[in-house]
Amino acid sequence: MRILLLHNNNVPFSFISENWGDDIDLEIEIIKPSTDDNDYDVFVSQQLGTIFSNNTFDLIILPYSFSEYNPIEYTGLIVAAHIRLTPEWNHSRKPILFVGPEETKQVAKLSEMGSILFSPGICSTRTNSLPNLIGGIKELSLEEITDSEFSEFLNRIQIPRPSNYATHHSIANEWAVMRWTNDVINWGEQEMPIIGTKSFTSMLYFKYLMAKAGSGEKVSEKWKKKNGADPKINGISGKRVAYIDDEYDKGWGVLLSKIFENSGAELHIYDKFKEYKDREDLITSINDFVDDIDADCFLLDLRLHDDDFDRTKDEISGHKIAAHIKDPKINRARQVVIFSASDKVWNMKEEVQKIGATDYVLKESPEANFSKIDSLNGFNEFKKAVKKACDLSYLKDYINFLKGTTFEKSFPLNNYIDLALLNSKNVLNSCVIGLNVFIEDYVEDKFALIDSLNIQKKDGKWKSKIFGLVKFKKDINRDIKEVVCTRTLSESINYKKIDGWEDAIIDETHRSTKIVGALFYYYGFRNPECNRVLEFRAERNSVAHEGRSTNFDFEKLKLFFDDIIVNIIKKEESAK
Amino acid sequence: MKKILIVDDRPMRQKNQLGKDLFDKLCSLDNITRDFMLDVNKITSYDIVAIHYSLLDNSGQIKEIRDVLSKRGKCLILFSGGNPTNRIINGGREALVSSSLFYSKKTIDFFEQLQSVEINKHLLEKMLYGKNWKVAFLERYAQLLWVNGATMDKWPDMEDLTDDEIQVLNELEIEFGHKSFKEINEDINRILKI
Repeated sequence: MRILLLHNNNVPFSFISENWGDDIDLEIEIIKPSTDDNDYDVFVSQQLGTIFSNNTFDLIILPYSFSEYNPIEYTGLIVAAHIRLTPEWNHSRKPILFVGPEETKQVAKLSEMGSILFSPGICSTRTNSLPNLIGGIKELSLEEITDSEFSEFLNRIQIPRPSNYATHHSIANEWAVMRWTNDVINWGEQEMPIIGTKSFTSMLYFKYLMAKAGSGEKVSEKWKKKNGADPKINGISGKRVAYIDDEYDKGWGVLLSKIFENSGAELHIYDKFKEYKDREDLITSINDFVDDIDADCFLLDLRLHDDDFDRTKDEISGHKIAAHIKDPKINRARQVVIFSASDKVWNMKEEVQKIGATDYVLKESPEANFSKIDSLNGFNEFKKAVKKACDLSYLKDYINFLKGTTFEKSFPLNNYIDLALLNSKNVLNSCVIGLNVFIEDYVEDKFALIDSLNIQKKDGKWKSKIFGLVKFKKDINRDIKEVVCTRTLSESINYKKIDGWEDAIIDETHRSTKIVGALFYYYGFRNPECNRVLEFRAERNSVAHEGRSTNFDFEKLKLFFDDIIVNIIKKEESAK
Repeated sequence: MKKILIVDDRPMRQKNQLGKDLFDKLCSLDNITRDFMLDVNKITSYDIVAIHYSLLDNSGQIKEIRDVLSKRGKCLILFSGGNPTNRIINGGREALVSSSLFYSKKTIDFFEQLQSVEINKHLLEKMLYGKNWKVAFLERYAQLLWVNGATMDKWPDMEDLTDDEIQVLNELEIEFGHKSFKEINEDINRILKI
């Protein structure tokens, strides 16, 4: 029989000095933390991890406390709970015997973990006589406890949750980063980032949560290799992401840095939480960071300060920072992804709407979720949310671009940006109409066709002959399908004429003539761009008059904005 | 009156963990000084110095603080949110406690008591265990006897005890009287109402 006796010179001397008999193989270990071992769970995990490494015992004997001074701190109960709850040590079902002068009911009365003494596989003795102890041990059943007895133990014990983890929030923060790094992401040939979870995984409360969840959802290397997620977000190369989370140093900073590096994106982490004790000062500092960085995506936790925990959700710092990021006076199109630990009290979808965030990602909690598929989905949702924010960040650039120009308050352009921010197919028709309205109204406002020959800027500084130089090709409905501006292609006029081309002046409304004339001769666009404008006009007519949904997508609208509208504005601004 | 210094680098933690009423009470106690920064030169004028562990851990001043306070027989309390295990070390002069225990009604009431009641011994045990504080010493008493081979009614042979053990046993005997293992057990049960 192999017996492990743990003590701190607080068991009878005979227990550690005398021979227990030929049939008992006794190993004696001292459990004595130094004054620097502030975290008892880490200390125990390290000590016992070493003791149990490559060792198997039939029985573990220990006192109720390992303190030399204070017998009622009951660290023996903590050690026993660690043994039960650490499957890696392979002794979680072994019998445990407490020795000491205490009555179990006294211990139970003073320690919130006292219920472990009445759980299966735990026994106790007050004898201080070695022969009596050995005699008692020989009468003990040294069978390992069964699965149902282990369940009974789990139901019976109470493991206090450390006050650092008083909220769901903090547990989820450490659990999720560990789960994603170790279990969900398939790092392939890459080195897995070291996220420093030792104090978390050593925590008795964490072990308890793991044990409660069972082993069914543990992730094997094989599963990870087959199903694990790519540690890269495709399509965000060159993007800049800002990460604002007071838990960044619990592994998230390390993990996200690696993911964004893989994705070719820049990650900027706000790391001055410790410098600002006062909540308002912290918010000001973060807002400055936000304004300095011009990020394509702000990954934002909602609770960033201790003071947030007793505030209503509208008052917490994350909300205030989100409001600043989305401040219409600065740039309402900045993209926020809420990246926070779940809180069942809050309706996150409501939060997203209220804040105007692009999306939200919940850091999963071991108390709420243990499915590896859910974890995998959670990570993929994160990637999707970041990608979506980065995809939409061009709208932020538009607002920056418009700022300070005469177009800053342009209703059609701002309306287009606001609609595009909704990122919904339902608004595409309105976007097509809006961009057309901008060009039509602007040209109508600024240009005039005069004497059937010329187009003139209304301010009188520019005039150009267009008669005979702008030609349209129309379809059977006489809708303009193609345009050619012939100023530099005079030799082709005849060819186009006989092939159904008409002089622009024949255009009934003159509006297309005016637009194309302005685009080509004033703004310097070439035929393909002019045709794109006409294509947009045709599409606008089609969706407005026929009521069908446009075939255009946001990408096409974006290209139109970038190629046409941006250049119109640039030309106008440079002419100021 | 015992003077207490509480140093916590996160100003809102006290209020958040105590709640408004208890926080107000803490602020109203004349024997409490609250600070957000640690000034080693000032700590010796207090009887109990309570510091958030991470503040000391980050600054690397733990040893210095321990030495300074220990030399003057002052009590040190290191509180931390990360560790739920409450322990008394360094011969009863230092307590490692959870933030939730430190910022609790029990502790604030104890500090209040220190304003008016002259308590000179076993401060940390009284803070941690309240009315059950004696059990810590009676269990120690019992343990000393048990470890050295006492029976229910009979003390061990004193020749088997080390000098340190004899000294501790003497102190316990002076404070709690000469008791057998059985009598100590009965006292504990009486205190715990078992």
